[in-house]
Amino acid sequence: MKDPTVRAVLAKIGRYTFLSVLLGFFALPMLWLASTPFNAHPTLDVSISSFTLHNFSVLLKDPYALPSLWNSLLLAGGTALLTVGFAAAAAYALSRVRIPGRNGILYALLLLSSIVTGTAAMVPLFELAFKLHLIDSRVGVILVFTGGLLPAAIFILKDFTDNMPRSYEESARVFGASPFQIMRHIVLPMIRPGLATVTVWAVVNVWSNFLIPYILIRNPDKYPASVVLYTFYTEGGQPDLALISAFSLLYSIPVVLLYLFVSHRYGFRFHGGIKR
Amino acid sequence: MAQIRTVDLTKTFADAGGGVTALDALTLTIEDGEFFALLGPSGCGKTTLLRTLAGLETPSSGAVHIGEADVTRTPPGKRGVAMVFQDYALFPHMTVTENIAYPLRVRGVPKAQQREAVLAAAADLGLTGTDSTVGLLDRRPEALSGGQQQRVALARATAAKPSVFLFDEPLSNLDARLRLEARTFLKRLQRELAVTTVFVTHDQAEALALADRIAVMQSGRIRQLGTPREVYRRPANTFVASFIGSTPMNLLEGVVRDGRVLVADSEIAPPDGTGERLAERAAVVLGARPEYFRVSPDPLDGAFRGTVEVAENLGSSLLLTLDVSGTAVQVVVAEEDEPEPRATLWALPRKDRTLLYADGELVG
Repeated sequence: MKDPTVRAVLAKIGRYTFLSVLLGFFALPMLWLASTPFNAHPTLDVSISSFTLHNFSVLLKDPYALPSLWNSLLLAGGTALLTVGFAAAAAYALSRVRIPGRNGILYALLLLSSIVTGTAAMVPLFELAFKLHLIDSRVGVILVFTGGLLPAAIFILKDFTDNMPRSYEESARVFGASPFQIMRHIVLPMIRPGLATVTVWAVVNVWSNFLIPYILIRNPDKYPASVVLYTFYTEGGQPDLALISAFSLLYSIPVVLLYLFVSHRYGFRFHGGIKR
Repeated sequence: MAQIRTVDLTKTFADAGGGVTALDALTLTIEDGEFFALLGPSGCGKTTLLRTLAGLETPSSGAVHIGEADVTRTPPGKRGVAMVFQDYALFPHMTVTENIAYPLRVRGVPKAQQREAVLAAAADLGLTGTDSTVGLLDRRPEALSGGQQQRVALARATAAKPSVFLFDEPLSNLDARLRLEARTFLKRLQRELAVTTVFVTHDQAEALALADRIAVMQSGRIRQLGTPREVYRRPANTFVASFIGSTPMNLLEGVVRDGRVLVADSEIAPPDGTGERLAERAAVVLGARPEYFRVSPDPLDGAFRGTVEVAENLGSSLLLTLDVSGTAVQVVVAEEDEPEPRATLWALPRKDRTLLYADGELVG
């Protein structure tokens, strides 16, 4: 056998081994998530020793499990709605109205919102919510989320509105459309891919966030799924793998559905703006 | 149907270096039903004027009247104007029908009436009734050809039933062949609708072909206002003279001597009645279009004598560039009169078509 052939075969073996390991790294947790909820004796292994739906029936009896998914939906939906609404209006205004230093304002907001996050932001946020009597209120959580997501959402949408030719709006104006009609008939439909992107991004952010609802909400009836997930422990203080895995599966379904829906409707065209 | 009047219309754009005057105290009357062209090089203010008529720009001072009303402060939607943009601005997320119906939708016209108006406008613009237009009304603008897009934009404008049409470079987005077709179509449409129409163009041929009257603009001012014939035959100044005409006019510097004009070592007879009025040794510019020369291989009296430098084929004719004692003079000859390279020719400007400019203004 010639040398180059051996080298080629070895390179191929090496490449596929690497790909297999990489694939395993990402696939195994998924397999675990898919199999463990149906396992009567769940462990951290990927296996179904004995199939059961018992884990789900326990979950259904849990007073907080299913309502928490509804709570998550309320928080995510409310935040997405506010974020998209305000961000679209702000992005349109910022790309059309000449304000001195408008880019400076936007970059400053973006910078601040990405530096002051997580735990560092929680103390002042808690204090603010307390003074506004928004502790233990869903509206409070939604407002905190919206505030945090807005700068980046405006930034994303401004790229779409910047790329929109002005002649569309001017044409509508000459035909007598009011600013509100122009926004509704022309601007919003034209930046729809951007709106879809921001919606998904906002929902995913809220859906997975633990800290903000954990700190701002007191009443367990209002806990979202991300917080409830951390309450599934056995009496002995061990994580209850059966409940955690079953709940995780339910927890992930809405996000997957949202992704499929948006991907189907808009095909995730992140190209920004309108090509002409 | 309305007359348009502007009075001392001025528009200044704030800029880093103080400001740019796009319109300079412009006073202009466009008659009811007229097809009016604003012609000029880019940056001359023609588009600003059109946008000010539409209400998309607010003048710095002066007034705009449409019909009886002073509309200087009236928002664009309340002026009774319809505008067709250079890129047509057809809404990409709406079908052709929805696009044409948009002006009516904004006004809250009932759906059934919208539909009727769309069909009428589409029929007027040739968007229905032929094989190539089957299903066209339900398509999106991106699925249309350039010419069809233009007609949809025009249909949308007519559906608005305006008293004034404003067209911004209506033909510049079409390819050359389609442009001629669209030009004829546009002229016929304007005749039929008899709506006052103002259009902006940088193409002098387009302005000459379409307009009833042309305003040639430069630096926010009107340099000449007249019918295509007037503007072509007797450009009021050297700017208009150099701008109008598909082959540029010869503008030759010379001096007056003994009632004749000495240009490029040749003595040319001035236009009738100007010889006596001109001061001896005054500096003048002689204007003569390449088309208005008598060209001969034999000596002619009072003609330019030059050698053929370049011969450009224009199809039915030839554009010759002659070297007349170091000055380039362009003349047009018929296709069968093609000279030998470097041949010596005599070119005699037609006296009744020769123009004389002093200090840039027409004197005869």
